[in-house]
Amino acid sequence: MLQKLGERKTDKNQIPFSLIIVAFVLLILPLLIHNEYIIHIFVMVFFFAFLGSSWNIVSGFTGELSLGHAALVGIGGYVSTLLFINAGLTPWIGMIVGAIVTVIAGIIIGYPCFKLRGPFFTLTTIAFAELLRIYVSNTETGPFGIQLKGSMGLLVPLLGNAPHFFEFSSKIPYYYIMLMAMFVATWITFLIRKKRLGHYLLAIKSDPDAAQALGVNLTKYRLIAMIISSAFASFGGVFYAQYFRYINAARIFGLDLSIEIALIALIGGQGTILGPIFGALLLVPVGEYLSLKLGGSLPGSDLAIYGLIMMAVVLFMPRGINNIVVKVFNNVDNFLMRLWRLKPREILNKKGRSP
Amino acid sequence: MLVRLIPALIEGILLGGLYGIIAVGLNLIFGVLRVVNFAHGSMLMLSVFSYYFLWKIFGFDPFFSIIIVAPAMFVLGYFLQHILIRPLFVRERALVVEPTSVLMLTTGLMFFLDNLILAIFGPNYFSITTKISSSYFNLAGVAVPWPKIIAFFGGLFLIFLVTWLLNKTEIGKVIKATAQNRDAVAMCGIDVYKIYDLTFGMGVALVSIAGAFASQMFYVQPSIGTVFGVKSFLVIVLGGLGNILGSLIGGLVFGIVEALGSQVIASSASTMLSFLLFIIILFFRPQGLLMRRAERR
Amino acid sequence: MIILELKNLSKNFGGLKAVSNFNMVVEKKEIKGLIGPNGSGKTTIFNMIACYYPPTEGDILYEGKSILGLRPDIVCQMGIARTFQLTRPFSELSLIENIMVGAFATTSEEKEARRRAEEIYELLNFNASLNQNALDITTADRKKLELARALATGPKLLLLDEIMAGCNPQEKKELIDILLMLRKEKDITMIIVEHDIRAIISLCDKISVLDRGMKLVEDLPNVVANDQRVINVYLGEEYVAAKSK
Repeated sequence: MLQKLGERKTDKNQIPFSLIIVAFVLLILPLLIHNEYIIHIFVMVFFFAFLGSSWNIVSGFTGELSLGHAALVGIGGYVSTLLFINAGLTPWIGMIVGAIVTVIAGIIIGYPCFKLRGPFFTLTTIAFAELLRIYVSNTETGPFGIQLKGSMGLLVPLLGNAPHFFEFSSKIPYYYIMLMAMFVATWITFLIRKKRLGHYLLAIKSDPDAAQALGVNLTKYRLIAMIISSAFASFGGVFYAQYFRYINAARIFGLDLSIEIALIALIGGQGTILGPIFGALLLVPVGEYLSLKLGGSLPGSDLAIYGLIMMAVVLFMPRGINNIVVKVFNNVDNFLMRLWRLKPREILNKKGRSP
Repeated sequence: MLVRLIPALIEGILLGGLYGIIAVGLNLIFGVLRVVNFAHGSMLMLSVFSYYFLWKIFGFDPFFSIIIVAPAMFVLGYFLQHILIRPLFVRERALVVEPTSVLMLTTGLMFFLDNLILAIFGPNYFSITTKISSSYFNLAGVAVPWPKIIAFFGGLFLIFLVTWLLNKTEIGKVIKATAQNRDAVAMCGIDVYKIYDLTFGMGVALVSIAGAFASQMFYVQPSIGTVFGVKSFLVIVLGGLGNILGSLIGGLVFGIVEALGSQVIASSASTMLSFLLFIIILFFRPQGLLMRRAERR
Repeated sequence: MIILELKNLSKNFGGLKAVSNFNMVVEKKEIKGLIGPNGSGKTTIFNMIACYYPPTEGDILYEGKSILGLRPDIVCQMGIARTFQLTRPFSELSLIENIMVGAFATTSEEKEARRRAEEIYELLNFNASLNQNALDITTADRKKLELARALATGPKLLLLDEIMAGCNPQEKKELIDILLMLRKEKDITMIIVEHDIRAIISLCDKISVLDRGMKLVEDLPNVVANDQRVINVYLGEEYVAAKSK
C-alpha cells in the first residue's frame, strides 16, 4: 500500500511513513497513558475526525457545503436510543436500523438540496436540520406514541459495563471503537477517491455540465455520496448516545454541531483524505482547552477565541492544514531515512516513476 | 377562530415588516458581493446593544440614536469588508470569491462577536422602556405597541428609500450594475472593491436601523442575532436575490406564516413552518419566488 | 446508414433566433463539417444534439430514434460525445484522471479506465505529463484533453467544437491524421466545427454552411469553398465585389 501510494501524483494524498508511526502510537496510547481526561480528549478527536470524514464524502467531494450534517447524526442517535429504551434492542443492532433510517432521510434531504447550488444548498441543509431540531425539541410524544421527550432529551439506560449493549464503564473500549471507526472512514474515503465514484464526484465539483457530457449522472452519484455519508453520520450519533449516555435535540441536531463538523473538515483540508484527522487533532484539543480555561470564568470567551482561530485559518491558510502537515511528515520521513542511511523519498519516487 | 386570526395577522404583518428590513441589508450585500454574511445577525445584535447602552447611559430614545448608531455601523461594516473580506477577493485574484472561505470567515466572525458580547455581558436579558415603547395603539380592537407600528412604516419607508437610491442616484446605479455584472463594471474603470466596501457598509447600516426597531420589540440579549440571522437568509432567498422589494414580500410572507402558525401550534414550532415552506418553495422554484429562472446559454 | 438526422431544428433565446429550420443528415462513418461565422449557431446546434438544452422546434433522430428530452449523460451513454469550444478541464483532477472520467463511461473498474486513458494519452501525444494538474497545461493540450475525454467514452458519434483552434500547423496535421484513423479503425462518425478552411477541406466528406442560424449550403468541400455565397458570408459582400472587379 505504501508503494502504490508512493506512485500517486499528489503528495497530499500520500501517507508518509512517519504518519504510520503516529497511527501505531495511537493504537497503543491507552496502554501508556492512564489519564481518563486525556483519553476522553482523544475519543473526541476521533469522533470529530470520523464525522468530518463522513461530511467530506458528501461536501468535500462535491463542493457543496452542507451545514446540516447534524440532522443525519441526530437521526442515527435518536433511532438507536429510542429502540434501546423502548424495545430493549441493543444499539449494536439499533445502529443498523438507525443507519437505514438515516440513509432514507439522507436521500429525502439530498434530493431537493442537490437541485440547488452554493448558498442555496447550504441554507436548505440548515433548514432541514433546524426543522428536525425544533420538531424533536418541542415534541413530547411523537407519531406511533414514541416518547421523544422534547427538550428533555433521552437518557440511555445505565447498565454499567454491558458490552452487548454498547456500554462500557471504562473509556478505553470507546477509544478503540472510535479509533477503528476513524480508520475505516479514512480508508473508505481513500477508496472512493481512487474509484469511479471519487473521480465522478470531483468532476461534478469542478464542472457539472462537462461531467454530464461525459456520461455522468449527476443526481445518482451525488446521492450515492450522500448515502455513504449518512450511514457514517448515523453511527456517529449512536456512538455519541452510548458514550455520553444522554442525547438531546439541541445538541445532536444543532447548528453548532453541523458547523463544528464542517469546520474540522474544512480546516483540515476540504476534499482531502487525511484532512479531517488533522483538523480534529487541531481543533478539538484547542476547543477543550479553551473551554476548560475560560469557559467557567467567562462563558463564551472560549468560543470567541475559537471564532478568531477560524477567521485566522481562512485568512492565512485557506486550503486547510493538510498540505502543510503532510509536508512536515514527509520531511520527517526524509530525515529518518537519512538517519538510517536509506535513500530519501525523492530518489525512490523518481525511480518509481520512470517510464 | 376568526377573531383570533386578526390580531395574529396584524402581528404577522408587523413582524414581517421587521424581517423584511433586516433582510434588505443582507440582500444588498448578497446581491452585490455574492458574499454569504453569516455574521449578519451579529450586526443586528451589536446595534441592539448599542441602542440599549445609549438609552441606559444617556437616556436617548432608540429612534433618536439611529443617527449615531447607523453611521457608526456603516463604518464598522466598511472596515470589516475592507480588512477581513477583501483579502479573500484579492487572493482569489478574481472578483468572485470561493464560497467556502467566505462562509468560514463570516461564521468565525459570528462566533467571535456573539460570544464576545456573551462573555462581557453574560446571558442576561435587558429591555428598553421608553414613552413610545410602552404606549399602545388601538387597531380594530387590538392593542398594538407603538414601536411595532413605527417599525413597520419606518421599514417600508426605508425599503422604498433604498430602492429609490439604487435606481435614481448615480452611486446606486453603479451598485446595481455591480450586482449584475461585476466584470463589466470593472471594465468601465470603476474600483469594484470600493463598491464592495461601500455596499457592505450600507448593508450593515441598514440592519442597524432595523436594530432600533428590534430593540424595542424584543429583549436585548446576545442571542437575538442568531434567531434573526438565520431567518433573514430564508427571507432573501424566498424573495429573490438582489430583489429589494422581494425582501419585503418575503419578510411579510414569513411573518404572516409564523404568526398564523403559532395560533395552531406552539410559537417556537411555528418557525418549523417557515423552514418547511422555505424547502418546498425552493424545491419547485430554485431561484426564489420573485426571480425569473436564467436560461442556460 | 443514417446515424443522425436533424429535422427543422430551431432554437430561440427569448427574441433571438439562434437557429432556424436547420436540416441535416449524417451518414455512419461520415465526417461532416459545420462552418459559419461566429454567432451563426454552430455551438447551439451541438448543444441541442448533446441535449444540453432542448430545441424550440424540430426533432433530432439518433440511430432512427428521437432523443428529445433526454439527459446529456444518457445521450452520452448512447454514444454521442462532444467537446466544448471553451475548454472545461476538471480542475480538481490531474490530466490522466480527466481522461479517466470519460473512460469510466465504458467501465467501472479504475484499472481498466486508467489503461484506456493512458492509451488515449499516448495516441494524442500530449505535451504535459500524465499527472499534471489539468489547469496547468497549454491551450493546445487543453483542446487535446477535450478530444481525449470525449474519445474515452467510446462514442459512435463525435461532436468536435473547434478542437484545432490554438494549434500550430504541425499539431493540426497530427490531429487530422488521428481523426481520419479513428474514423477508419473505430468506425466513429464525426461532426466538426472548425474555422481553418484547409483542415476542414482535408477532413470532411461534406460541409454544411451556417449563416445567422440558417443553412446556407451543403455540399462537397471544394464546391463549398468556391461558393460565392459562402465567401460573401465570411468576407463580406464588398470584398467579393472588389475582388471580382
